Amino acid sequence: MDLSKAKTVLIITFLFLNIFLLYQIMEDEGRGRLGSFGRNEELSRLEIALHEVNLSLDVPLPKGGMQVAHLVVEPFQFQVEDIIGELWKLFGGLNNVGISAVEEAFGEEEDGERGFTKYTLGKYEMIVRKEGPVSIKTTGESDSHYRNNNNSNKNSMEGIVQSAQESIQGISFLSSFIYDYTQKSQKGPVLNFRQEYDGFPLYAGYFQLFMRGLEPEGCYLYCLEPVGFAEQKREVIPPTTALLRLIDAYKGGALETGIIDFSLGYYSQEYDAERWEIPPVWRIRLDNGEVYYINAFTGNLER
Amino acid sequence: MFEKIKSGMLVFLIVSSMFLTYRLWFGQPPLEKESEPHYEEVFFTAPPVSSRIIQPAQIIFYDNDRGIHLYRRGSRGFDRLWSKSLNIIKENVELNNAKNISKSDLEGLTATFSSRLVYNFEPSMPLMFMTGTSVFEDITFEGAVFLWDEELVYVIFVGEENFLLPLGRTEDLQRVLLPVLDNPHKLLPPAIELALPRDEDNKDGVKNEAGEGDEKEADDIGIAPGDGGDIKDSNEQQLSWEIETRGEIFVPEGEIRVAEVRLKEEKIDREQLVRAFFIDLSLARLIEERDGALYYTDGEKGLRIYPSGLVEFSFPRLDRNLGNISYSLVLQKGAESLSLYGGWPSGAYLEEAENRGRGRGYRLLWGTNHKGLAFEGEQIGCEMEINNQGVLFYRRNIYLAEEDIPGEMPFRPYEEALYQVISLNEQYFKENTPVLLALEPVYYIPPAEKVEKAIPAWSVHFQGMEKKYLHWVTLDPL
Repeated sequence: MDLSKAKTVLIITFLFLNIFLLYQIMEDEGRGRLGSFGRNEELSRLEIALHEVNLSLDVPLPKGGMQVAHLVVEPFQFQVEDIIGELWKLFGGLNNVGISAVEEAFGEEEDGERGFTKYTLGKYEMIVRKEGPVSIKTTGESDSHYRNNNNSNKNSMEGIVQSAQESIQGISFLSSFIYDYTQKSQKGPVLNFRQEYDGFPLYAGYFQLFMRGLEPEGCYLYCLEPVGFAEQKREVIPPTTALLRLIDAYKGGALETGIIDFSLGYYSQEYDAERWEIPPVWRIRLDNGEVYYINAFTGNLER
Repeated sequence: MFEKIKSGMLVFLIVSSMFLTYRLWFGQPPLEKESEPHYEEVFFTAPPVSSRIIQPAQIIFYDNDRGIHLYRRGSRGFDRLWSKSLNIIKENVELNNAKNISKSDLEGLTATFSSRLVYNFEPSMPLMFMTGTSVFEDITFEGAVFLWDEELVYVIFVGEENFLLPLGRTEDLQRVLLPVLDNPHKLLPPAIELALPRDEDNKDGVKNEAGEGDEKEADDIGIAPGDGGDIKDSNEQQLSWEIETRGEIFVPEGEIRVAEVRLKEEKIDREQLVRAFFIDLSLARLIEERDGALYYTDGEKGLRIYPSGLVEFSFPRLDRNLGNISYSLVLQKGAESLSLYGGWPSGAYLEEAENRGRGRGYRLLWGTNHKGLAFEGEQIGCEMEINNQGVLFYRRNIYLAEEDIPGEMPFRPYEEALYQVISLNEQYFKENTPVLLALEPVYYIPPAEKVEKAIPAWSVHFQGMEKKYLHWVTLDPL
């Protein structure tokens, strides 16, 4: 064989080799499947650890390696009379009634020791806590004169979510909330909406709508005012580290549970404060409804 | 030409395959990244040497002819005395010569020698802190008694066991040991009959020596007819109480003239303080609370800095891992931690070291003083809970003395202070014999949002009740 033919053979061989190597590298980076030679063993360990607690990873591993900072937030400042009418529209009651009429209809109890104010009207009661959360719930059976959705898919989940989204879009302080996920409960679906800031989910700010069919039966609102990011950035822990932390914290169950959501966002508990910083978290949501927040800086479980 | 291109392409493909192989094999980061912890311990003040971690609570000179002279922490002459005694012990003690003596031998020796110098330690002092050797690492003592005859000076370390050691020749050491005798005190007897005459002219039960300020009506201080065994009929001119004393309680014989003192908050570099608790500041998030306090937390531990300057830190997880730690190690770790978390306050001394039991470590309490009088009050000083894992709780609230406020006055006699407390709690003392546990002059810092001054006061502690603080002139409860 002359040199020219040998070169051609070698070129073709190395070309195929490079294509194969490139494919392996692309497979590895953020795909979460069985990876390259160096990471196989680690991934196997992770899979074994998940299996031991009856967990399975049903979504791809997200990418890590980001540098982020704490998010500074303030509580959403509001006057009750500003929000009560708006929220009331969501429940279809007093649709065309002005705020002044709404106020007159309300009685008020204040319990300084428990730190909340309660408003009642008919079968609904609204509780406003001093840390900020607002909740509305029914105290009796649902009433037929509340409005029905005329959507032809009115009983499908998509229809319920769409109806709810249209409703909250019309409320100024809820218009920034984005649909997150739906939980199932005995009484009906619970729609979860969350806030966002600069492309990052803000799990700490949320709106839950408890549905009975197409009819909202109650809600839970906690709204935050993002101010901006803190100065000091830091790299987040890898998602696999967060998974291992979850395995430590997870109590486990007899049935296999799937991880159906794994994403980076911001979360903290509710504070009664002027201003506070929220850490980035890896949110891991299971198909049994449980949600875990792993601090993306420290690896600690956020409660 | 074509061959050259082929050669070039082949070389390129070979090099790129080597690079891709390297990238595939080594280029992927491990699933769990480890980073070396990097931090620096920056002490606000250098930690004290072992021998300075604990000071004697009192230095008492007894002499048959010259009486009793007592020196409290911070009083004139205290530091000099303590330093000299420490040096003498370090230079002259040879533990091989220690002789174990019984309690009765100790009592006999103290009765035999006409004078002695006694150092009382509360909390107890590890022997190794004073001698500088770790021969008797676990031995602690509550007192050191210096005795001397014409030839030799001895020291007796008093504790669960008592050790007698010779120190050196009297002619060399006595003049160094002896204090300036300018602080006469007397020892209260085991029982005191407390009787105050009632002045028929102005019907006052308690007089103000300076002749100004409030003069209390007899009824105001709770003198009332009763059927208690120690109270005489109110129609009589004298009312008396019999008080038992517990332990050695010394009261000054001379007049103590003092004034209120202006205070200022301790100023600590906030960022340095936060960095002392959180290895990496980027892990700690800040919460600005509604009362103006700043709360730093990383989810496991929290540091709260109040607008008043009060600092509180807690790390509850450390309380779950139980393990034993020796007393001497706790004292050293506590002193280092105090120096790290804000610094060793000027004039600070360890006031209390309580074993929390069951492997949960110790609770340490530090106080400060001004001119020999301790600062006392709610949450004043530094408190720390520490175990073998580290510091699980820390509170720091230090005030610094500025200048005395004009208006120097002498302390009212201690008898009047005792009488006032008993009168204010008369019903209790009718049913319970008054047992006096402690009595001393202090500076009291009243609780307030903004503290401005410390008030001289009698601190009176009877069994069965909390300490009472009485204004040094009016004897009003503080």
